Amino acid sequence: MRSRIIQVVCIVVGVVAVFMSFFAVSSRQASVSAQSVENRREIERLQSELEALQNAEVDSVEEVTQSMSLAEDLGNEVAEAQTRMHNGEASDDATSGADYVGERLAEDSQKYRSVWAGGVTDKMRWEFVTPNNYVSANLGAVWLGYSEEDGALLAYVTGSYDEAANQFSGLSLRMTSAGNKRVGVTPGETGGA
Amino acid sequence: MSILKRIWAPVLMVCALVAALVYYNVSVRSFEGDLAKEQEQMQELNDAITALKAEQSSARSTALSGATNLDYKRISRDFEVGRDILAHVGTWDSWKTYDASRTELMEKYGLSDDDQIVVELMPEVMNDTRFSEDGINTIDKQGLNMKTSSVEVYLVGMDKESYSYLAEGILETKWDGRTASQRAMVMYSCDVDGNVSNITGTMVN
Repeated sequence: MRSRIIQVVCIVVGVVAVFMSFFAVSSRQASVSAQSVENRREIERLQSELEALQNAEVDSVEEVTQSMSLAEDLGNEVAEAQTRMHNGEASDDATSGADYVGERLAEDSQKYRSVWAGGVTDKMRWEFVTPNNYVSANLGAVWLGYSEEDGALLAYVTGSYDEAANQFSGLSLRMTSAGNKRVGVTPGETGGA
Repeated sequence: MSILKRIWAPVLMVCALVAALVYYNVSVRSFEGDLAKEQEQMQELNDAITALKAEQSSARSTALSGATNLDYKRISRDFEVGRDILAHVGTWDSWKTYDASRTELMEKYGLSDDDQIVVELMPEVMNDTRFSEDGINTIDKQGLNMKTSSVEVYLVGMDKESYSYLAEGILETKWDGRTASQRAMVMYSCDVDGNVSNITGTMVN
């Protein structure tokens, strides 16, 4: 009787061990599969990033000079328009206004077509900084917004210049603490902030 | 024969256990081998991307250098100043590390308690040591901490004496299982010898 019990226990243990091993393997396989799917997705992303980099051309000195010149002209146009728009100065040659600025911005930055830091009550002067850096494969762009009253930096905008489209993209507006302290009644058209 | 009758079940059990273990190990090793191959491939791709980016960045710097006549080695050196200042502002997890980072920032860049950047980004935090050796302070009491990430530096001005820069980064704090972040910005100038001046800084949003 005792030996029969031992036999049954052994059989049960053996069967359970086999089932547990199948179960453990299949659950491990499921987690590995999920990880593998993630890995393959990441590999695809990396492959396309590498391909894009391999296809990217690095501009020559002449091309960079030309790009910088185009970026500078366009950046200054935006800066001047923003200054006029912020200060409520009428422009008789249509070189300001949301449409004018919008034409110079890529689709992803259209929310910056209207007045930058519009809530700031000080009169402001926007300056475009000549691009001297690269942000990824594009020339970086920075506009600094100063108070006309005391010259304090109130806000700035960063982005990059896409020469192919002759537009700025990836814009971000930042308000400094000095700028935030001067936010009051919004002078007319506002946006971006 | 009677022995065989008695031991066949334990032998079968041991065989089943061994087979189960072998099956599990072989299968798991095979899965992990596949994962390792994928990881290796990702590493290779990441390395290739990093190398290509560095190569292209260097080529762009050379082209920019030719177009602008600027010294990009100097600019790269100066960029590190912005990263360093923001790292000081945002690398601490206790009053002790905050105070050490603050003191080092001030000593390294010749700043005083009254300088705008110190007042705004690294003000003095009092530590009351009347009741305990370690002291009581807001940072430790509230478990405050800060970590800097995603620093970008821009060259924003040049004159004969110095270049000026704007650096911005994200300051991240973890509190009660949550993460909050805000941007900080510093501006500074560097002369040709790398002397840093006119450091200002502010939180931005």
